[in-house]
Amino acid sequence: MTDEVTGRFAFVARRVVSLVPLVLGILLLAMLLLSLAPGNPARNVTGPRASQGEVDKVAHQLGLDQPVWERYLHYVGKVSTGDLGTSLKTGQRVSGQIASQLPVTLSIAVLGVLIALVASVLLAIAAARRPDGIVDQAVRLIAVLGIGLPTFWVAIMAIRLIALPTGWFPVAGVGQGLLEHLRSYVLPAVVVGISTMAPMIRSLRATMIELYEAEFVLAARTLGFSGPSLVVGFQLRNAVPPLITVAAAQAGYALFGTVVVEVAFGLPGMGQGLATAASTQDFPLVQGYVIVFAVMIVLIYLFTDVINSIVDPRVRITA
Amino acid sequence: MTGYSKPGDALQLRDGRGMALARARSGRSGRLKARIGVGIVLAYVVVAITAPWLAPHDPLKQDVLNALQGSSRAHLLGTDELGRDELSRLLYGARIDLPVAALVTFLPCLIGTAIGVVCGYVGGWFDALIGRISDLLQAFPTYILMIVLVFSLGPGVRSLLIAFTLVGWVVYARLVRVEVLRIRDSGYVTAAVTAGFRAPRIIFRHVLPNTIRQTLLYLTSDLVFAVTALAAFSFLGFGIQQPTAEWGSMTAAAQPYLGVKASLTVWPGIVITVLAFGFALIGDGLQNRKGGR
Amino acid sequence: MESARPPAVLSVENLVLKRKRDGKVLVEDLSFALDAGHTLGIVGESGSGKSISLRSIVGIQPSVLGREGNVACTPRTAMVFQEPATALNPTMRVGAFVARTWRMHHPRTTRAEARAAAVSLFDQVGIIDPERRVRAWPHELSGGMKQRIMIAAALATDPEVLLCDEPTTALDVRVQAQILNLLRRLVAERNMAMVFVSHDLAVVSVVCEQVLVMRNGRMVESGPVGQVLNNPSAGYTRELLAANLTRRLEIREPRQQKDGVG
Repeated sequence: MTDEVTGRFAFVARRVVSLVPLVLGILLLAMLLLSLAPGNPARNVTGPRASQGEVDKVAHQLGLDQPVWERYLHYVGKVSTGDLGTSLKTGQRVSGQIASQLPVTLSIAVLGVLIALVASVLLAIAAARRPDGIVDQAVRLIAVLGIGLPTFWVAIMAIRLIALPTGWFPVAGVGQGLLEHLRSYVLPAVVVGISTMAPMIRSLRATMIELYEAEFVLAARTLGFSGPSLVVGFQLRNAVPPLITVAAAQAGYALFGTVVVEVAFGLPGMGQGLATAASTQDFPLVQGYVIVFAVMIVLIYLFTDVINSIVDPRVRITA
Repeated sequence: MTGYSKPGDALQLRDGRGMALARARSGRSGRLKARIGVGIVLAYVVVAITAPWLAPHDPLKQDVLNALQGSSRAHLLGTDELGRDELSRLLYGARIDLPVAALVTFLPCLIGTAIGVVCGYVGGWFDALIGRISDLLQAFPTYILMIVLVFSLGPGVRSLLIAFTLVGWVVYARLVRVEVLRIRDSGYVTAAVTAGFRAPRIIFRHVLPNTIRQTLLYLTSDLVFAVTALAAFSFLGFGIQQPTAEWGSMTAAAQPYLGVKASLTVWPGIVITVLAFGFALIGDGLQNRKGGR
Repeated sequence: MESARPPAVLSVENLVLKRKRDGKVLVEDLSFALDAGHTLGIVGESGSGKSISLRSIVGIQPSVLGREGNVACTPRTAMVFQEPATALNPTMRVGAFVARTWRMHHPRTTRAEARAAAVSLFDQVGIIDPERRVRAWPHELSGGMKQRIMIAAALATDPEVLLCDEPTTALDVRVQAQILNLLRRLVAERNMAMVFVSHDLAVVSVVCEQVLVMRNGRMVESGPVGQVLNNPSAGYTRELLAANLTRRLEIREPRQQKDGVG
């Protein structure tokens, strides 16, 4: 038993190590963000009417007068100590601002993905029971529509059709206290869930239908398994690993959806923060957001790898 | 298909209609789906082309005194927050969203295919280099990358194009490269070369036709993504901006007026969804041909 | 080969299996019946329809096929499959699999009782160190072990009829003999009826009393195994025998051994 545990630790450690280059690449990209923009980066920040002296000052502030690799090393050093720079507009520390917004975004994203998973499982099971039956066709239609539905539109529809008329859910901002917080998150999370669930439904449904004719499911049927015990123990269990892969692929999309949803609902999360920072050309702030978002996604990849190794006994730590 | 069998069902098993019929049906319904999808897309194309004649008003003409009006004879869908005719703006929106979505999808396809061909054909250091770059790109969270690019390159179609292309070429390159390698190792190439055919001809005659089906599938799903993502970016303030009539930014601009005239936010979304749905149907229809699900 | 006065536990009359899409007939007019404690082998080449016939008895024939005819089978029927690697649920520990099967057929029992029953069944099918093996995952086990577990799961349903679809074909020769001996012993101990499908006449001759030869979906010959093997009436059977001759000698040897480890 302890063999398994130490094995798993080693597995996780190895995965973390393999992801380090990716994180470094992300930092590089974030740093080069400034230089990507057309024109003189420092001037982009100060505006066209600033004097040369001011431009030079900003250039020095941003470290633009140093060679790239030196800048990079400095940057990596700074970031690893948690210093993401200071906002050009507010003068506050970037890390502080992002940290305060992180819980909002995380809650919505996680809740949204959970909703998507639960909905996918229920719908896929219902659809797979009778392929080409009415329920199946309905579910397939929902899935195809869901792929084309823009998240921001669903968000606004939700506001218009649910939040405004019923007054149950606050339309902007986050209240105080846990209950208020939850109330503010539910609708946005449902919206995120709806837009993320479409591919999951399709994949899971297809897997379940395939599995119904799989040899071990046939064997289980002859042994007398049926109904819930068959679906859960034999089909679902084996349908989960591909589902996890799809969910991981959807993670980026889910985060993007969260950004959109935050802007639509006016929630003080990272998405809203990023959009505002971008519109005010606040480079250090945008850099900070990019890094945090990217690292979040990398962590999600890691997380899904670990989940997969737990759920699928064949994925052994030897990988 | 029957429900699940229960213990003791051995005596009374019924044969359901089951998979055979389902497969036959899905073959036919696949063609129907594709046709409906093509019909929808064509309708949009027609609207985009004929908008200047179809639209009753100039989409950019403001009339602030008449803002947020309900539907009337003059304005079938009413007016928006700056008094512009909503219907006209919707129609003209097709002239932006449709071509840009197409551009943003086809360019990566073309570039990716070209790169894939070169990789497979030339191989060597070029192939290895492209391979590493594509690995890095794929591992990188795509949406973040796109937001970064669109942000730093400034608003407008150009940055959207660059962002989508940078991220989207990989899939096509991989697909084509595999096919080129396959052909290269088979007898075709040596036979063709000895027969005197030159490389481009081999490529066009043999490699590309084999990849068309898969490429089309990717294209349709990329198109679906492009349509929605484009609008989403514009909604967020990146990409295409006001006062151009574009479905995403129209929604964003109308959001503050949800209480007064909600339909302004509803129409653009419906229009986007239907277009995306059309592309998705085409993709589905194509898949079903081969007896998918 | 006909049934005696007590009702047969398994009776198949005029079984027809047709492909739904175009009506092509794959199995035509197959009939046989079986009493408790008796064994029947069905032999034929691949494509003769023997496997799908067996599967259609419990209703798991490929869904593109439609079944006609009268099949009367006691509900207490269990099946053993050809490829144990694909017949076991990869995400379920083998002990849990057998325990759950047992528990489903013995209502109002506790999990502990089910687990104990699983251990006991493992022991009955000749698995050594059953307490430890119970926690194993299917992919960790050898082919022979997996097949024993399949049999254990089948036994957990307390069957009257055991349907075996080429259960030893995927195993290597030494293990084959062990499994065959195991099956013979179990059939005798529990007075089960068994239908054993195989392409290998030698194997069938070891385990079965009666044999039925199939070709292209039709029955070609049937009778007591000794008679059919030594004095076949159909030309096809003769050809089959000739092809199987050398194998028959190999299999006869290990018959004298006891159940081994697997």
